[in-house]
Amino acid sequence: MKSKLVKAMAFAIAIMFFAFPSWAISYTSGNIVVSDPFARATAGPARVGGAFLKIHNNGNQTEHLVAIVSSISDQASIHQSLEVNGIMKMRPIDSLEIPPGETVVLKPGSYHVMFMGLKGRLKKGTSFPIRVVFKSGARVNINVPVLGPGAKSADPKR
Amino acid sequence: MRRWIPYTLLVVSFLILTYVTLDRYISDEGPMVISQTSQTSGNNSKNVKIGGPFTLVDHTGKKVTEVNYTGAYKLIFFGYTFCPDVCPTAMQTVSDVLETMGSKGEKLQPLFISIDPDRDTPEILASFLENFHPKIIGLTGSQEQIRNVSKSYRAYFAKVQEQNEESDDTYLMDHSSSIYLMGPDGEFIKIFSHGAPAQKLANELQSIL
Repeated sequence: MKSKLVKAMAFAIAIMFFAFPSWAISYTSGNIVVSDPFARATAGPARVGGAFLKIHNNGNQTEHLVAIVSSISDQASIHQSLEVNGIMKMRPIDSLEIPPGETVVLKPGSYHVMFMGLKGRLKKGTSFPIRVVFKSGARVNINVPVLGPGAKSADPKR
Repeated sequence: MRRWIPYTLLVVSFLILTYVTLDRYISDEGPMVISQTSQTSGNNSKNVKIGGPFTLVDHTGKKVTEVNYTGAYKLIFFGYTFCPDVCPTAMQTVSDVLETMGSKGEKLQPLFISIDPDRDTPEILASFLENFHPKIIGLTGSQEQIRNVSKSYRAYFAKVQEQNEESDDTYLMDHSSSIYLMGPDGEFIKIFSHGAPAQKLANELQSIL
């Protein structure tokens, strides 16, 4: 009887390992799920840094990402990278829409969280907290791991 | 009444023809200057000259010219180290290409040319590049030297004036995001657009080198 229980638990744990790889972190607050955050390590003196994450809206109203609050830099904002005729442009945006039932991914070449006036270097292997703020008043506190300077996703193997 | 039918048909077909022609013209001949045309034909170097001599400073502080890299196939990217998205992505891609190609990649010399020389000193370039493939060389120079080299490569860059910011050190730059492949004697071979996966670049380079 006992061994059956142990087996069942071992099985459950194994399933958890396969279903949720260690890098797949998610944070839920109300209808909003923020997952797979990562930042890129910065070069010594660079005072800007970028972070990426996924936002899912479980609600039936559109949510608007309006701010990122963090103490690691003087300013944090949401930026969009746009390629226009082979020219890369990066511009701040005021608000990012998350339609009901959808996931918006902030990823390299698209949207990113931009930290300006970093107070210190973002070192690979460390992490820092940020607060993701929505127009509805929803806010999600998350912890952002710092990966390599050219990291393209939250999965360290890629 | 019947007389109007052929006339109407003529007008309608003329409108369709105009629409189709314009549509073609706009999508093919838009403001895209080099990246599109040179992607479709690698021989475009004969019509539009891309590349040329330069004098710059590498990330170790040494003065260099294009002659320093004669004999190597050069992968040239114009960017800046304060760029959190596109430039690290491109350098990661180039690092992955070198990694993937192994010994075949020995003929390659990647060059990261800063279009933000005010902030990108050799030391800053060195610190930016230390996390990427050690073969990548960072180049910077005076404003004039950078203007000259980007002009000869038809690479575009411009400082973005922030409306609300006083002039601090957090300004952004717009810049060409393509990677240029130049031959051993500095001849233009082709342009890879930003976002091309490392594996695809490696495969293409294998067939060229």
